[in-house]
Amino acid sequence: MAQDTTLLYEVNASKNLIGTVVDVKVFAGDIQKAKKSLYLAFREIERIDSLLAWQIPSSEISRINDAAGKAPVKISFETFSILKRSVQYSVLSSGIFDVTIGPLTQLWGFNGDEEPSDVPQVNKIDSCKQLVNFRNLTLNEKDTTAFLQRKGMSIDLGGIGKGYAIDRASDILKKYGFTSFLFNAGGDILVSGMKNENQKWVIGIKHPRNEGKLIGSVEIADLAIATSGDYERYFEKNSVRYHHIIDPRTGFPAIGSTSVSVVAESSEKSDALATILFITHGDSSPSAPDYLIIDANLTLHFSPKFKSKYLFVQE
Amino acid sequence: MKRRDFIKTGALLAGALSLPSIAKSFTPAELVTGSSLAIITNDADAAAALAQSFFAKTGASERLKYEEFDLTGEFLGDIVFVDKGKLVNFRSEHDQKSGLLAEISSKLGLPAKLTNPKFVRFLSVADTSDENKSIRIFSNNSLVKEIKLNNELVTFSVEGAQGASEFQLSKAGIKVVGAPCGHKTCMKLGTASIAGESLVCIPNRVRAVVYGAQSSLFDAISH
Repeated sequence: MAQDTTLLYEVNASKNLIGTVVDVKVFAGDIQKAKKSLYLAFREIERIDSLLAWQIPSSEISRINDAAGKAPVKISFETFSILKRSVQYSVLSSGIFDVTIGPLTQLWGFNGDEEPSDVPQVNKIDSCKQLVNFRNLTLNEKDTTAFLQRKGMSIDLGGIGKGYAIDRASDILKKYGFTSFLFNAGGDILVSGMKNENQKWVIGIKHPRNEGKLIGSVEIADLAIATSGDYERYFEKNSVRYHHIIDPRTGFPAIGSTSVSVVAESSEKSDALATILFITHGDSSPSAPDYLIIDANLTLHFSPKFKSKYLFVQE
Repeated sequence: MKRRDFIKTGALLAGALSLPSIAKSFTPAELVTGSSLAIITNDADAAAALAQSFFAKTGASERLKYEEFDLTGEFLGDIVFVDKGKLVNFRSEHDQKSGLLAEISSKLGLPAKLTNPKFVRFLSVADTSDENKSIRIFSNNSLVKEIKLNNELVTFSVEGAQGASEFQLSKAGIKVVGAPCGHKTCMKLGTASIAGESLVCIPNRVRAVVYGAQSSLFDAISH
């Protein structure tokens, strides 16, 4: 196998995909093989985006959204499965993670083409909030159909889709024999194996308020890390910061956190849990994920073993 | 063009040939430190394969970073090999490495004037020191500039899919000060100065990436 050769190359590639830039580095003995595999991995991300992005009119998610309140839509087993897992996150988080958040995210407009600059009217927020309820998404396992029961409902997989795409792209590289690589999709990171035989991958975590600074770093292997923050997609009005992570309970941007990083075994899981913990500010249950939460006062809160498990170093 | 000129403009970069007035503001030759093999070619696959063979034959043992970028415009295709900080003039020297490089150059048909070529580079991870921190600017996935981060305050614009993205470069780092897109998220990303950090304008397909020693300290930055 190529990986058995003594000289390894760190092959770097980047591509604009899924509304962000996906950077990959893979250690390979054969550059050509790495390039071909990276091409297939990028193609896999594009394929998943074409299934799941509500911004793409022909996607399966768009078809479900278009048929809201009208009829169930037959979808692929893959889309069905990710919707099913999304609902599981909704149940686990008592609706804080809600895949039917679409009406609210579109109302606030952080994913649109224009910069949002004003707070939507409260009555509009209230009416959109009424449409957000994962319990009104019917998933029929027998014929793999999805049905949004009320007109105006819409699915937005923004909190999970990117992570899923990276997981699948990682599977492609593994399938072609690569064991040591890193995906970085706009700050959502997945690493496979170690960077070298003695060193795990070192991931910096951006400081939520100090430009050009890190809050710290962690060392991980065969894991994913995602960070949700209020410092990139936001606007300020009357000295209040309004950002893109919407609390479905209030219809407004979640308050109390500035940045949440979650380390998990998959990118999908870290992506979803970072959003949930950003809104809940923590999890004291025994099954709590590994997290670092930076609150509004910039105080750091760690899950019990986070610091020692990932050798957290504060900058 | 003299070989030294090629070092300054062709290899590092490249965009200098299509953006001569901007290139004068920078001192790209300072970026050439350590060991690197840079090739501007129309056939990146062949160049990579030949380079791998070169490293195998010359007993390279440390891990090498491989990068490949599209370039847009007219460029002088050629090979530049810097061995431990020293430029190897392989066409006039007669050691083993020079002989092999001359062979690669011949196989790739270089030097030659090329349109929209690929820029292929191998370098050891330790080659970049913090003093040599640089910024790479990409437009539509093509590398259009590579500039050293220095004390000067410089503003410049890069054409993207929707118009010009305006950048400001200073000792503190690089920031986007103007964008043609609607939501202007890139302008809110602040100043990027940590190696590995990037500023991206998705609608305009323009991206700035900080590159330097910390790339080897941090493999990626979560945000």
